[in-house]
Amino acid sequence: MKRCGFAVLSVCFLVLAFAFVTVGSALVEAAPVGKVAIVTNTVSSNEEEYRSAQVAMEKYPDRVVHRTWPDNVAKEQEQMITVLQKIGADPSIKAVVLNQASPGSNAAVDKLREIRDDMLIIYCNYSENAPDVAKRADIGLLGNSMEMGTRIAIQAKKLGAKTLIHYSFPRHLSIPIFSVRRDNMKKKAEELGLTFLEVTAPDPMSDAGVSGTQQFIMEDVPKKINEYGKDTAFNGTNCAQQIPMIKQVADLGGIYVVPCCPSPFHGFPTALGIDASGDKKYDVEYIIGATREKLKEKGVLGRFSNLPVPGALLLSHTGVEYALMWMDGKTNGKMDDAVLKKLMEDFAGVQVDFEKLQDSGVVYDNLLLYIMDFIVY
Amino acid sequence: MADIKAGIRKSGRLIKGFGLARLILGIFFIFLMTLGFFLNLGIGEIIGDILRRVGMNGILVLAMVPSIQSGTGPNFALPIGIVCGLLGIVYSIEWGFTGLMCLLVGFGMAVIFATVAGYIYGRLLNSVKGAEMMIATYTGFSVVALFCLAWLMLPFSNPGMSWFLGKGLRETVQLDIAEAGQVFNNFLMFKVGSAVIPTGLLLVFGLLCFLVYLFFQSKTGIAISAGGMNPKFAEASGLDIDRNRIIANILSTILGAIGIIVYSQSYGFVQLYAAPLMMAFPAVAAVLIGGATASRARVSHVIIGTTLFQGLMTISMPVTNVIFAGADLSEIVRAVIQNGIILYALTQVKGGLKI
Amino acid sequence: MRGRKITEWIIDNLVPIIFVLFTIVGFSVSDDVPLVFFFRELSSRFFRNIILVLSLVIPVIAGLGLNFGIVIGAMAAQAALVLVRFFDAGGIPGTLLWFALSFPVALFLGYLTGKLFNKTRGQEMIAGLIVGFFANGVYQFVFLYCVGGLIKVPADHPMVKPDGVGLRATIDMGKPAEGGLQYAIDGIAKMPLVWALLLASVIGLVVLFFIYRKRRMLNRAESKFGYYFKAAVLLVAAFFLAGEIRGNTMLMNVEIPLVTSVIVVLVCIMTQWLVETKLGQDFNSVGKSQYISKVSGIDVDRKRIIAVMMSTVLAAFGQIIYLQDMGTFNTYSSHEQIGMFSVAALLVGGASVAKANIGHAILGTILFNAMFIISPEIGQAVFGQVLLGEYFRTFMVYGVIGLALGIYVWKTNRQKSLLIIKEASDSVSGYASGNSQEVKN
Repeated sequence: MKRCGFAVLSVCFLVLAFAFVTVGSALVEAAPVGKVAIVTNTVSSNEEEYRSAQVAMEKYPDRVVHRTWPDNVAKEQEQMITVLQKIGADPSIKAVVLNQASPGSNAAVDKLREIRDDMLIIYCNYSENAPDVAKRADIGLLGNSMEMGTRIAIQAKKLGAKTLIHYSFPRHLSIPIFSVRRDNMKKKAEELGLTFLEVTAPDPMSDAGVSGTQQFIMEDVPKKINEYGKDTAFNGTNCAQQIPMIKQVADLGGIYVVPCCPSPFHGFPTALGIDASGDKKYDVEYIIGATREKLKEKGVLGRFSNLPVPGALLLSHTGVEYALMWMDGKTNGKMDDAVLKKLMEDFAGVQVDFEKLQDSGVVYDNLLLYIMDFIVY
Repeated sequence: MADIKAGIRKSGRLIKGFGLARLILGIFFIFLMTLGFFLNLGIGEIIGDILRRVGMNGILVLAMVPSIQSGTGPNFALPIGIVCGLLGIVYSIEWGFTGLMCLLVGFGMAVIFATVAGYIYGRLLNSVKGAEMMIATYTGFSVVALFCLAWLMLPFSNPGMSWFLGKGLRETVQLDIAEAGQVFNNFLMFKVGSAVIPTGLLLVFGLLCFLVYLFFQSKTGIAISAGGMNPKFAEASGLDIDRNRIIANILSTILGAIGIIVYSQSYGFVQLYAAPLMMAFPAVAAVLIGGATASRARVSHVIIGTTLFQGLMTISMPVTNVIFAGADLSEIVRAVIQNGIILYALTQVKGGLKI
Repeated sequence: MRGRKITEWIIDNLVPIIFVLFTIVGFSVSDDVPLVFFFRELSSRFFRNIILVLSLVIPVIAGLGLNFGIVIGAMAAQAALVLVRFFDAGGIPGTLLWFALSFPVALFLGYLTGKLFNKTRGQEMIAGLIVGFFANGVYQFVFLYCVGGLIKVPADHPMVKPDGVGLRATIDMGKPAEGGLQYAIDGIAKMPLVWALLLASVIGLVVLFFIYRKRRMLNRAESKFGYYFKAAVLLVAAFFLAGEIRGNTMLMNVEIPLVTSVIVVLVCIMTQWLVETKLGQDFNSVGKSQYISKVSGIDVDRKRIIAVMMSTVLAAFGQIIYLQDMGTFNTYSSHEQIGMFSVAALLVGGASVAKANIGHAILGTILFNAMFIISPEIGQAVFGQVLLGEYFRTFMVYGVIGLALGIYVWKTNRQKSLLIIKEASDSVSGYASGNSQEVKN
C-alpha cells in the first residue's frame, strides 16, 4: 500500500512539473515588425562592443535584441551555437549582427541557417578564414588591418620613430588578418628604413592568462626603450596588451601608433586614468580631449595617434541600421555597397576608405574592409 | 678504487637528496642564462626582472607552506585567499586611501576577509580528508566564478574603478588612481648596472618569510607540522588536528590575500574577474621545484623554488624568441615545465584517498 | 524509517535533483523559451557529447576516479583529423579513415597516461587534470611549430598559416555537399526526435521491468522508491510524446541523427556487456580494493592501464562524433573544455568518484546541457543582464564538480569513521573484527 502511495505521489509531482513547463513556455507569436539581434562579446573581452549593443537597444527598444557570446569564446563553441539557435527560434527576429564574429561563429551560423534560411547575417570584426566567412555571412565588415599594417609603419615614421616593435603570439599570427598585417608592416618599415622587431608575447587565452600577457608587456616595453631609445614605436595585436603598453609608453616617452581595435575608447581611458560618467560616456570629442590633456601632462603630446572613430560603435551602428533598412525594404538586396558606405561615413564624420577583401587571389564581394586616417594626440 | 665508488655513491645520494628534477631545472636555468648573456639580451635587466618577480610572487608561494605542513597538500584553493585580498584592496581604494595607507588598509581588510574565509574553508577541508587537492581546485574555481558576479554587482562609486561605459568594476583597476602602484618596489630601490633592485619589495617578502619561519618554530607551528606528518600519532599525543588544520588554512589564506596585494602593487594593476583562476598552479609548481613535496615544505623551499621558477619563466621568453623566431615556444616551455614539475611531485605522493 | 530512506536517497542524488530543479525554475522564471528550441538544442548537444561522457565510466569502475585525461584522447582524434583533412579526404571513407587513424594514437597515448596514473596512485584525478595541461603544451608544440617548422608542408594549403609554419587557428572540415567531413555520420539518416523518444521510453519501461524482476528474484534489498520514480517518469514522458505526435506539433520537426544514435546505443551495450565479462569484474575488483585484487592474483597495474586505454580510445571516438557535428575545428581550443565538462556532466547524473554507470552518463549529459541552455535565460530574467547569466553558468559548472566531489568524500569519510567506531566497539565487546579493509588516515 505504502509503495503505491509513493508511486502516485511521484507521478503527480511529475505531471505538475510538466504542466508548469509546457504552460510557461508558449511559442512566441510572430510580431508584425522585424527585429534585429545583435550578439556581442561580454565586457571582459572588450567593453566597447557590449556597450555599442546597449546603445542600439536604447535607440530602438522595440526592434533590437541584445545577446552575448559565452565569456570564454575560444573554449565554448557549443554555447555559441546555442545562442544563435535561441535567436533563430524567434520568428520575429529577421537579422543578426555579430560583433565580434569570434572564432566559432561559422559553425554557429551554419546551424542557424539550417533552421532559418531567411535571415540577414552581418559579421563584424571576424577573424576566421575569409573563404569560410564569405560562405556564411551575407555581409562582412572588417577594419582593413592588412592596409593598416602598411599605414602603421608610415605613421610611426611620421611620429618620429626609428624602430618599430610588433607584439603578437602564434594563435593570433595563425589568423591571416594578423599575419598579413605583420607582413605588410614589416615590408613598409624596411622600405622606410625603420628597424622592425617582432616580439612574441604570451597568449591571454593560454594558462598565462591576461595577467601573464600584461606583465610581459609591462616588463618588455622599458627594456626595448632602453635598448633602442625613446624613438621606438610600439604596437600589438591583442586587446589585453594595449593598456599596459599605453601606460608604459606614455610614462617612458615612447611612441604609440594605434590600438589593436582602433578606437578612442580602447585602452587609453583605462591606461591614463580618465574618468567619464553620465552623459560624457559616449562623447568621442570629450574623450579625445581628455586623452590629449593626460598625454600633455606626461609630456608625450604628439607621439600618440589613433583612429578618430570608435570601431565597435561604428560597426554595431552600421550593422543595426542597415539590417533595419533591409527589413523595411530600403536597400538594394542583401549586399548594398552604397547604403553601407553611406551609413559608415555618416557615423564617422570623416572620410572612410573602402576595399573588398582579397585572399589568395580571390576577391570576396560581400566582405567589406574600411580604414580611416589617423589623428595625432 | 673504493674511494671512487664511495664518491659515486655519495654524489648519488646528494643528487637524490637535492632532487633530480630540481637539478635538471637548475642546470637548464643556468644554461639559459649563459645563453642569454652570449646572445646579448641585457642580462642586467633580466636579473632585475627576476628579483622583482620573486618579490611579487613569493608570498603567494609562501602560502603553500602552512597547508602542506598541516597535511592538506599544496593549497590549490589559493584563489580563495587571492579573492579576499582583491576585495580588501578594492574597498581600500573605494574609501579613498592613497599611497602606502591604501596598501596597509588593504592588508587590514584582506586579513579580516581571509580569516573568515580561511576558517570556513578549513572546516570544509576537514570533512574531505584525503581528497583535499581535488576539492581545493574546484572550490577555488567556484569562488573565482562567484566573484565574477560580485565584481559586477557590488556597489562601488569610485569612477576610476568602474567600467568606463557602465556599471560594475572594470577588469583591471589601475593602482595609480590611488597612487599605490610600485610603493614597495620603489622604497629604497637602487640600481646595479642595468639591474633594478626593488629593495622594499624584497624586504616585505623577506619579512613575511621570517615570520612564517618563526611561526613554524612556535608551539602551534610544531603542532601543525606534527599533525601533517603523522596524524594518528599526533592525535594520540593529544593534539587537536582538526583545529590545527583550520589554523594552518587561515594562515595560508591570509598569506594568499597579502600576497596578491603585494603582487598587484608591483604590477600596478589590480586584476579582477577570471584572472585569479589559474594562479594557484604556478605557485604550487614553484614550491615543488624548490624541493617541497606534497607533505613537507619549508621556507627555504619557497625561496629557492620561486627564484628558480620565476627565473626560468623570465629568461625563457627572450631566449626562445631569438632562437625559435616566429614561434611562441616560451609559452609551451612554460606549460611543459610548470605542469611537468607538478606531475613529478604527484608521482612522489604516498597514500591518499582512492581518488 | 521510511523518512530516513528518503533522506538517504536525496543525499545520494543531490546533484541531479539540484539540476532538475534548476531547469524547472529556469523555465518558469524566463519568458518565452520555445520548447522546440529547447529540445532541438538538447538533442543535438546530447548526441555530440554523450560518448565523451561515456568514456569516463570505465575508469571510475576501475578505481581511477574521474579521468580528466580524456583530453588526450580528444587530441589524438584531432591529430588524426589534421591528417585526414590534409589529404582532403571526406565523406564516409574520410570518416572511416579518421576512426582508423585515431585508434592507434589514442591507444598509445592512453597507455602512457595509464602508466602515469600507476605512478601517481591515489592522486589520479589531479594528475589527470595536470597531464591534460601538459599534453596541451606538447600538442601546441607539434602543431604550431613542428608542422611546417620541422616537417615541411606547402604554405598555400588552406590548413597551414600563410607563413608556412604551423596550422591555422580554425579549420573548416568541409561541407557535406563538397564531400567534406561535416555531418559525415550525422547526415546519413535522420529520424524525428519524438518517435525516437517514444521508442526509448517504451523500451526503457520494459528494461526497467525486467531489471526489477531480476533483482526481486535475487532478493536484493533495494529501495523500491527509485524504481517507481523512474517508471513514473517514463510513463509520463510516453504520454506526453504520444500527445505531441497526435497533435502534430512543431516538436515533430526536431530530428536526431540515426547512425549516431545507433553508435551511442552500441557503445552503451558494449560498456554494459564489458562490466559483465571477466575483464569488467577485474576492473570492479581493482576499483574496490587494489590490495585484495593483487592478493587474488589480478595484475592490478595492467588492468588499470587497460582501463585508461579504453577510456582514451572512446574519448577519441567521442571527439570525432563531436567534431563532425560542429563542422569547424578550432585547432588549439576544441579539446580544452572536454575534460571539465564531461566530468561535470557525469557527476550531474549522480555518479561519484567510485560509482558510475551508463544511466548516470545519459542522465547527466541531458541535465548538464539543459542547464547550459537555460542559464542565459535565468541570467536575463533574474539579474536583468545577460552577462550575469554567463558568469552564473560558469559558477555552476565549477561548483557542481566541487559539490559532487565533496559529498562523495564526506560520505566516504563518514562511513569510514563509522567503521572505526564499529570495529572499536566490536573489539571492546569481544567480537573479532572480520573486516580486513585497510582504513587509510
